[in-house]
Amino acid sequence: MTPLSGNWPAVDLEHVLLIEDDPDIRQVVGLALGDVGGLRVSACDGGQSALDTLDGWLAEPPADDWMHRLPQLILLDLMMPGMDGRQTLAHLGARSTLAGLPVVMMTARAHAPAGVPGEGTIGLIAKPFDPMTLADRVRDLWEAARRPGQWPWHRPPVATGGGV
Amino acid sequence: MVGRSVLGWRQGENGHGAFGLMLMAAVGVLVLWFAFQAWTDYRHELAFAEKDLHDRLTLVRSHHQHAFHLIDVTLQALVAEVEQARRFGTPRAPLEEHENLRRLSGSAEVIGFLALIDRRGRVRVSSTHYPLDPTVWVEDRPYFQALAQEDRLFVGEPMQARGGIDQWFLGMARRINDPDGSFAGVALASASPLYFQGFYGSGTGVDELSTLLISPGGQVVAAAVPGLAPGQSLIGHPLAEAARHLELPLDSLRRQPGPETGGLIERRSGALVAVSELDNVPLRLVMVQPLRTVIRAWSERLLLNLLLLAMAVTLLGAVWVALRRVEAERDRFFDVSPEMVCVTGFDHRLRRVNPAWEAVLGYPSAELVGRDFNELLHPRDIDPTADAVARLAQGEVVRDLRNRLIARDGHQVWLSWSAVAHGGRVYAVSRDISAQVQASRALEASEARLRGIFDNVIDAILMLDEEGKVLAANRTVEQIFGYTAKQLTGQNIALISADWEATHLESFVGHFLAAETEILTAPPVVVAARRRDGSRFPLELGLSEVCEEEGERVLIAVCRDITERQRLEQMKDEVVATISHELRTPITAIHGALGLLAGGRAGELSDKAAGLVRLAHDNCHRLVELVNDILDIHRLEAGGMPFTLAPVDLAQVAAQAVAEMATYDSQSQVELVLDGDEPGLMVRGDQRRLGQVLSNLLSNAIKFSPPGGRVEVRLRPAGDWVEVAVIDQGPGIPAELRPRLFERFTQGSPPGTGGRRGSGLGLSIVKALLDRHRGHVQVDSEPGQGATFRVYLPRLDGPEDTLPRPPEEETAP
Repeated sequence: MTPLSGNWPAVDLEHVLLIEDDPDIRQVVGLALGDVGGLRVSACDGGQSALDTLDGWLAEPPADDWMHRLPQLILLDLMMPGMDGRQTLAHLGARSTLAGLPVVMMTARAHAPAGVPGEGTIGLIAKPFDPMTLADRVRDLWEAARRPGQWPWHRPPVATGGGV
Repeated sequence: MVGRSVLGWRQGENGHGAFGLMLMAAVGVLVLWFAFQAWTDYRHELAFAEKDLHDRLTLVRSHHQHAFHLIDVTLQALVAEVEQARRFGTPRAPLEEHENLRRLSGSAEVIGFLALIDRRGRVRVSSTHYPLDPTVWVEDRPYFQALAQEDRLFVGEPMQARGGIDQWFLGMARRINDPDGSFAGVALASASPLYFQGFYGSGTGVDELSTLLISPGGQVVAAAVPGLAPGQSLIGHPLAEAARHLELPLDSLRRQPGPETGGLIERRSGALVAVSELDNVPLRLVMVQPLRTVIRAWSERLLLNLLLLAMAVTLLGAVWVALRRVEAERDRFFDVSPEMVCVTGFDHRLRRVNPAWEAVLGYPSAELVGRDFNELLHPRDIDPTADAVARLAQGEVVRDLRNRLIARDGHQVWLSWSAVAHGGRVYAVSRDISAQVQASRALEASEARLRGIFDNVIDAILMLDEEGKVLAANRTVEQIFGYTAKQLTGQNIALISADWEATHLESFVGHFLAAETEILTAPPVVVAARRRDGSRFPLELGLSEVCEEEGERVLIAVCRDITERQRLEQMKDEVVATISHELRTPITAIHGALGLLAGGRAGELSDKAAGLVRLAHDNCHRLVELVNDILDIHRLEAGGMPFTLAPVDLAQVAAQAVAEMATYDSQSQVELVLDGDEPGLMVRGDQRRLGQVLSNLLSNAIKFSPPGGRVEVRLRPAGDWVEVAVIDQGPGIPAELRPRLFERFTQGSPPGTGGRRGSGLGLSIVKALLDRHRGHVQVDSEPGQGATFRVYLPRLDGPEDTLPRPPEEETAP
């Protein structure tokens, strides 16, 4: 396992987990990031299913494509029925293995609510977005967050996986 | 009306009459007294003049008596010497005799000369000449003839001397006898009239006193008469001539004096005449004092006194006229006064009332005079009025005694009396206060009503002074703050403020007061307040200035506990957020799908299809903005947009807005530049809303910028304000659009970009938000030169600088 600290290898953004309750938007985002942006997009329809999915991935034994199983970035819708974006974020932060994952918030509210983007997030994308530039914006936020000193924010780096 | 005025006039006239009579009597007495004084004075003056004349006469007479006695003694001595010599036959030689005569005549001034005359009438020796040549014969002279007959002192008439010795002389002679008793001659002495006249001289002066010495033959021996020409003399003239000169009847000078030595004094023909005979010498002394000189001084004094009297009378007259006028004025005041005036006794009976009584009460004045005023009083007011009269009797002055009189027609008249007692009478002036009483009752009722409203409104109402001290509070404060109105009164409003909000509140009050008076109300603000039990709650506070009491400004603070409202608002906010989300979610899907279609991700589209898709895509975008703006303007107008006021660093807000805009609008090729990001340009406001102001201006600027254009945000302090300028290089704002630029749904046409339009609400939202921040926005634009929007917000100075500074943020380009 590679600790999520120190010098990161120059890794391109490849795998994004989208947490979005609306299937149509899931589809549009999937197209915008996948077709237009060339990213691998995993999608979940809510916070709980996303956590379950992540837990499932983490439960599997390490493999060569371990890095590919886990998303490098989470695109999280703020307003969702059931567990909403903020709760999901809290749950993510509560799991030491997932705490280091950068999160980009998406919101359809007219104005970003207080604290967003904030702790545990690296940016905010307002709905509606331009599907043709969405992937570029996500990549920009990813790159910006990877600059030294910018991430993983205040939380101590957490080792994931076995062997350590 | 007529009867009343006649009554009033008659009363006035009586007063005048008595006074006038008294004044006349006073003048009469004055005149009588004056006349008596003048008469007495005249009598005194006359008596004094008589006494004076008597004294003078006595003096002159005494002098003359002495003078003649001296002459007589001298003559007797001479006669004795001569007779002795003849008896012993030792006559003196003529020269020796002459020397003897000269010596004798020199011994007395009155004696002019001495002469010895022999029995035949020849002057043998004279004291003046030696030898006598030629011989003087005096046998024809009366004194010689008289003395030849008998031996006595002879005093003759004044006569002219012979031999050029003297002009006029009064001869006095004694007979010289031989030892056998036969006539031997005469010793003659002359007295000069001028000697006597010289003695009178002092008497003739201002008082015009005349003195005459008259011989038994009725001739003037010596005289001092004023008014004679120089050189003129009355010596030797008959008495009639003197009488003519003195303008007196002759007989008044001829009168024989009585036995008294002082002489007779008579008033005759305007003169005091005093006559006295000399003892042993048949001569009379007459003194005449004209009365006019006697009364001159008296008449001068009389004239002066008359003048004084006239002045006194004039003065009295003037005083009388003035008093009459004052009296008339007072009576006029009494008569025409619209207020009721009366004079009563301590027995409660009206002595005198003015016409206002009839006008107010409807009773004729005649019916009121003599009546007990208790009959007119409202039964409830009888006792207090009687008390007041009792106090008056003790010398107090009564002011504002309020009672009711019942008029003839039964209606009540409220009166306020001022009264004073003087000389057993009560003088009272009233004021009709019926209207006032009614008004004050109405006011009381209205105040009670207002008090009821004041106490029962659901808002707490506090009256504050300039320092924030509570002057009054309504009952509701107890429900809201837990303090009773009484407990709050006198306390500073800081008592109900929580933490630093106290200073916030004070500064708010101070800010409100610092503003010019035209700002009479301020929009309500939400502050944190504290109840008596320490619990906190959001308080909506509306301040307005109501009035100035004695130069102090008074503020009305209307306080409302908005805990519930805020909860509801939060709920509503959630609802609105949810609705906006629900609207936006499908739009996002549509927008994304259209974007992908337009981006050719669903295969190549025909030009026509691509155009249609772009059209749908743009309008979808517009729909989103429209939804945003409509939600905003709705909340602004409904007052439902919560504002969290706090010190805000505008530089930070601007940086954030620029960064967000760069994020949202990364597809437009417009350069965003932030100039002047110095921190510390603090304003009070809601950070998010101020960010929205800048975002709206920025998005406008970007929308109207040509591709590759530049939008500049410039921050700078401008006096008490902070200025934020958003400068674009767009086409500028057409003149016809400018007046309604900030109205709703005013839209310009952005160039290029397919005529993408906004909602037309952005600038009106900007204006509404700035209004709530006490700020304003200006626009400068020349067509073709771009537009500059300048936002001004009141700069926050002072204690806020000590607040923790917000963390620096990286400024996005």
